[in-house]
Amino acid sequence: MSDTEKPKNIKNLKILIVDSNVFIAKTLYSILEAFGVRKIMLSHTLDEAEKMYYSAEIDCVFVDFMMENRTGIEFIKTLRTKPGEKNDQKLTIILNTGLTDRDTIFMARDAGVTEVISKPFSPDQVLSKLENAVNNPRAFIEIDEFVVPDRRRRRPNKKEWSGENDRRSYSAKKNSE
Amino acid sequence: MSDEQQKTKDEMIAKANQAVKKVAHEFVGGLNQRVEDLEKAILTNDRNAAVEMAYNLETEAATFGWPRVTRICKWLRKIFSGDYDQKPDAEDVLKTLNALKLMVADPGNPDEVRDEELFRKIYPAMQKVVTDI
Repeated sequence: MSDTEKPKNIKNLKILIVDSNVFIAKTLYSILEAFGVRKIMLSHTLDEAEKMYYSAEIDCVFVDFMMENRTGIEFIKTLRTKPGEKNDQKLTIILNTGLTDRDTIFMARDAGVTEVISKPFSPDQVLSKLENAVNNPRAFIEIDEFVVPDRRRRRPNKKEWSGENDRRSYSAKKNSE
Repeated sequence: MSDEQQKTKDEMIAKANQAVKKVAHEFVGGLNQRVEDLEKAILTNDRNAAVEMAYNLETEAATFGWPRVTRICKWLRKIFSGDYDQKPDAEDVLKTLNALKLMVADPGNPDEVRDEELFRKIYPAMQKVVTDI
């Protein structure tokens, strides 16, 4: 799916939640449901998640890294490297993790995650990450069959979207007044 | 963002917060059983299970507002995944587990004063093992 084809309204996203933690998965599901997202799929195992991913059209995957003895990261790599017949490799992958140390974040970035949400997360954080993914998708770098989001989110003539309360737009507005 | 858009966004967040509260209520209901399961994994030396259970409890407790449980579970996750600064004494692990069990014994009526006191008692031993806990 190209950037221009992406739905602009988060309600139209088709989201897959992959988390072995029942309560966290349920929390995320409830938050997305409250946002009005109509298509949410939920999986507690990586095998099931892989089947779901390849059998349905998915725009965004929320996944935890610490699943089944830390193999969540392998799942992310699979999504990025296996050429999907029905799915595009350029989907949004959001890592929701309780581990926010430098090594984990670098590992996740190198595996190809688009955004990271640290646990505990709040509804407004989830909304902001999703809106960012929709309104300012990253460019993708393709190396053979490995496709990863550009780490730098550098797009010509388009500044990083960081919400409505961005201090830069606030100062610009204030200066023009 | 227009006032109308802001209002819609605020409503979405408020609705989501309500939904989170419902899940938090369910979480509290099963908290002591989860801690018992964690204790079982630790006592049977099932390290992988202990790490996963401690991690899950840590993130859930943080999400649903149990900060001391979060830190104890983080400590347990770290020591059972080998991420510590000094090897922990078995006695300290048991003491910490007992404190955790007491904190979640009646999760519907948490005793903040007692829990704070318990945490202060076990904290020096926890910090000796994992300095940035």
